[in-house]
Amino acid sequence: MYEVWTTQLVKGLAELALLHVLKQGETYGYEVMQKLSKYECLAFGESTIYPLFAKLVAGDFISVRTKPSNSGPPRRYYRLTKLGELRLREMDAHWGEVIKSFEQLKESKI
Amino acid sequence: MTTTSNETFSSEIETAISEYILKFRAVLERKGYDNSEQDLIVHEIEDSIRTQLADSKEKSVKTLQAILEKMDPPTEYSNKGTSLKKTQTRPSSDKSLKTLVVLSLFLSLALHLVPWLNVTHTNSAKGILVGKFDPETHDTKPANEKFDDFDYSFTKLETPFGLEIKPGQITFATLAFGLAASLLIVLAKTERSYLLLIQKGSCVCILLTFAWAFFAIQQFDKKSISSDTSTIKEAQANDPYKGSRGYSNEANPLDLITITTINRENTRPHLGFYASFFMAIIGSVLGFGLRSAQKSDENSSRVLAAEEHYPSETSTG
Repeated sequence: MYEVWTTQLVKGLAELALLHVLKQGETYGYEVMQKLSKYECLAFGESTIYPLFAKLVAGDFISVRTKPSNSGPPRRYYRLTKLGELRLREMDAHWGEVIKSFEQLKESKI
Repeated sequence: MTTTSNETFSSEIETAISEYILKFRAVLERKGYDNSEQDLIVHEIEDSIRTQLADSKEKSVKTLQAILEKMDPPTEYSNKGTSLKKTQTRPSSDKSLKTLVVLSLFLSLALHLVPWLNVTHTNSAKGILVGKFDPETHDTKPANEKFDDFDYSFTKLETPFGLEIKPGQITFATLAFGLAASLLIVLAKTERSYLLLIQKGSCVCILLTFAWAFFAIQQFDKKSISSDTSTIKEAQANDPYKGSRGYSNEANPLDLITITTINRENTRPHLGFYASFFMAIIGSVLGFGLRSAQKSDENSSRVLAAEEHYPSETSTG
């Protein structure tokens, strides 16, 4: 039961976390996974992050370009778009409000 | 962190990767991902596999299998596609709406088809207007101010669409309610077929109510007017008010006056009007209900969209 709750909780944060990683600069999928895996509560699986990439690209929140490599298939690099930056700001603001509300709730004696 | 994902491996490993990717793509396709999404996901998976394999000391099929075991299998990817894109409503909302529609339709049919429900209530009024008779113009002018004492409560029914009509006020209120209900139903736009059917049913219901109310209003007022000229003395003898109004006591009893008798029958389809009023209210409720259902749908769609956006089975490792 507890695991279900924690999974549901972080589920909604995946996009916010991904956008924050992309805010740091252009990056590729596996690198995003590696960066997020450093944070215990944000270590999402591929099945969470990669479909999110597809959704964010489709929504023009991130752009993608391929860089040719000397050998093997080219790698895709993702970058936050202006629209993505705006979305990130909005999500950050809302997340801040959620945190604030929870703090108020915890301090409340009603 | 390494970026050496583009190494080529042994043909055995390359074959294994290719087979895995093919199977992966097939699963994604079954789950409803479109081609561009499949391309992106599969590309990232392959890149991830190759990068991890390149980072490993031993580049073998066994290592590849260990890498694949650590990764989310394709079945873990969210089950998106047509089934999730369908909108849903809460069953209770559906049930109450259907109940209201059935009730409304039943009442409508009953009002229109069952004769014994069209109970009418008749009020009769008889009034006498008394005035001085003018032999030149054959007009009758009120003898004095007391003429206004005549009970006008029914004479105000003369113009069936005038706001002064008491039953008309009921009708106008009914029409206003019905109109509001229709407007709400029209505003409650939805693309779902069965809700469209409900909307149409409600509209038909309300239109029938309008038609019925319009028909009913025509039945309101029946009157007959008869005039007779006589002396005040004769009039006094026949006056139900016993000469207390309509003419001055100082008048000559032999003066000619005109007595106008108005017989008015006010027929009201009593039950029908209350029922139409009730139906209009039902229509309004339906309208509100549809709007609520629509909002509920919008919320459901948002939730479902979010579910599409965020895979249902989130892996945390």
